[in-house]
Amino acid sequence: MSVLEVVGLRTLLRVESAEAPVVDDVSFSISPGRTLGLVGESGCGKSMVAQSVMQLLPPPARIVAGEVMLEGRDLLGLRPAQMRDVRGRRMGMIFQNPMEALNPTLTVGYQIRESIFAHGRGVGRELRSRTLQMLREVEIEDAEGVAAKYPHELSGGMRQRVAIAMALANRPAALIADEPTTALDATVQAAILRLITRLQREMGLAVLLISHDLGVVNEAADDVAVMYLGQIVESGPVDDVLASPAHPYTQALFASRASGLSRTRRLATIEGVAPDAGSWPSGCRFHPRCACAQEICRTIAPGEVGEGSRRALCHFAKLGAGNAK
Amino acid sequence: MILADCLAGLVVAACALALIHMLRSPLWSRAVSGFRRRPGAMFAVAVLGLYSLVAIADSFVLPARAGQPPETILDKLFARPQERTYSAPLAERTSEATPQPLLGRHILGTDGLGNDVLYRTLKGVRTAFLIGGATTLLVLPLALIFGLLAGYFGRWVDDAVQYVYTVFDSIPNILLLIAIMFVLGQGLLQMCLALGLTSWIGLCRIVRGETLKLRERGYVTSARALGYGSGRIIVRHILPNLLPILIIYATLSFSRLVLAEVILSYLQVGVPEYVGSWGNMIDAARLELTREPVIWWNLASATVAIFLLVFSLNVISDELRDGIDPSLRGA
Repeated sequence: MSVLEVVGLRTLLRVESAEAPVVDDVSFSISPGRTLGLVGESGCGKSMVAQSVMQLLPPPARIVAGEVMLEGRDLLGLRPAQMRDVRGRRMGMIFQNPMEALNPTLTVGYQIRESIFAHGRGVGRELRSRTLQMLREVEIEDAEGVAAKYPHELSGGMRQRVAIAMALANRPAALIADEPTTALDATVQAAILRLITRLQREMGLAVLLISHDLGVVNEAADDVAVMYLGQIVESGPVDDVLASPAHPYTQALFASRASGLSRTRRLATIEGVAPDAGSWPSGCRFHPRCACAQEICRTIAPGEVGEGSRRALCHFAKLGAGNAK
Repeated sequence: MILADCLAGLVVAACALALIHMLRSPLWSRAVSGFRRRPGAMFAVAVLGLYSLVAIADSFVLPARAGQPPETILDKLFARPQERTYSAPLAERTSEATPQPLLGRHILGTDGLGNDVLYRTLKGVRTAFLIGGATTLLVLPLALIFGLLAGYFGRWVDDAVQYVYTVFDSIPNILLLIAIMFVLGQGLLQMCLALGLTSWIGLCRIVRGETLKLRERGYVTSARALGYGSGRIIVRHILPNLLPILIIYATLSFSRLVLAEVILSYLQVGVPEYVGSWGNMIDAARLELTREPVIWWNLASATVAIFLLVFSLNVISDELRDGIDPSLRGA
């Protein structure tokens, strides 16, 4: 039984006068206590997936097809007021920039209290004790002191902890983390990732972790889905996928990581840039940048090949066989 | 006059509420306590304090004696025999035959009707406060409601609001003011209404622009992701971040309104003559400048009084802004 299940999600973005897909037939599901890492380079639609799931899309974008099931309920069929009740209560979200995520004019304590109070869960003393408890749960030692502080008095890591406390204050079933560590420095990154993993275990959360960093996904995720130009091109358990990537894009992403390289070698890159929505190539979308593209890739879009829990979207996907490599 | 008294009460209540709110929030009390280290700010606060005392003294009506018009504390303080006509500041010889002791003289002289100029100047304080305060009380909600709605919801709401204020804005301000004053008739209250209707546009535009900017801030997005409704987001997450701008605008517009009153009274479409106001004083003094020797004290007193008020308000708005703007904190 999965907590969050997305089936055939399709989101269009209005560019000038035409509408172009930015999320194209994306499907995934996350079970309680599991983390799905969604990776891909900038502009491939990762954040659009998150915003579609939360229904927080900016006005020029809209969802045209698909299902977003949270605990068995289709969120796309809900009225705006019902969806508002789901956000923050059943499904929390944290963002990339913790410097921006908190209101500078209100104390940290007030903002956490508000996230509980807005969903009508607790008043008065209970509200206060829940707030302090949440601060302690995100590993803030001096909960009472921090609750009385304003955001500008806290470091980036502390602010991200507070943002997590707000997102999880109502014990949601799912958490969407959109590049939660990208804006933090390396040591804090690791601590925040560990915190998310720990809270997830304790609360049985289903986590959608969005990142452009394979290292982050490797560390925190159970499953991984690799996105390119609005599609999930490869997915599967994180260990399997990283050990033997089947899709050329995954292989290229993997090869361009900075870690484990000698100082003298140039960092591998993927040729070219991802095209904008609306000017995606025909056939396999990755073919103009793919090292092993053939004639068939130019004209025919590949179908999904699957084996066990792994899926790939490539004419030449080396599933299973690659494991021996 | 009863309406004006109610308005005065409202202004005082609003100021008191604002003060209490300010002192309770650590952000504000820090800004206010920063005043103590700055002589300019202290001077401005002292001037405003003095003016407030005068305005209060001019607001409490003493029990009237039979057959006499009601008097305020301020009237009582200046109950002195009237002169027949002009007399210079501190003039020794007055209509009474015997020379007066220094304190009994007219410190700033008298005007053509023999009224004490200091008394008339102080009478203008309450009028200025009423016009500045009551009009600001009218302008703030108008501009805030329209600006916030237009900025936050965008689309047709924004179009509608912009349409309304562009129409207002396309009429020359002073013409619109005079037209409204002619329709409503002269009077303090009418003046506040007219000034309010013509001066909310500037603030509305600023509020709309700021809201457009704040709407895209991370904390507003994250408030939406926490499932907060639009009302809560606007009131708790956008409005408080507009405060620094509101403070500056409100104090600056206060002084601008005082000046507008002066201009309108000078054009003789302002407050009626029996209400003491600086505009009326200047209007009367304009003819006296041509006399020989020059009668300057009338004009000078009103001008200095206006200058002090406007200057103090500007200094305070500047200091407050430095104190509460989060982006300047710690700098």
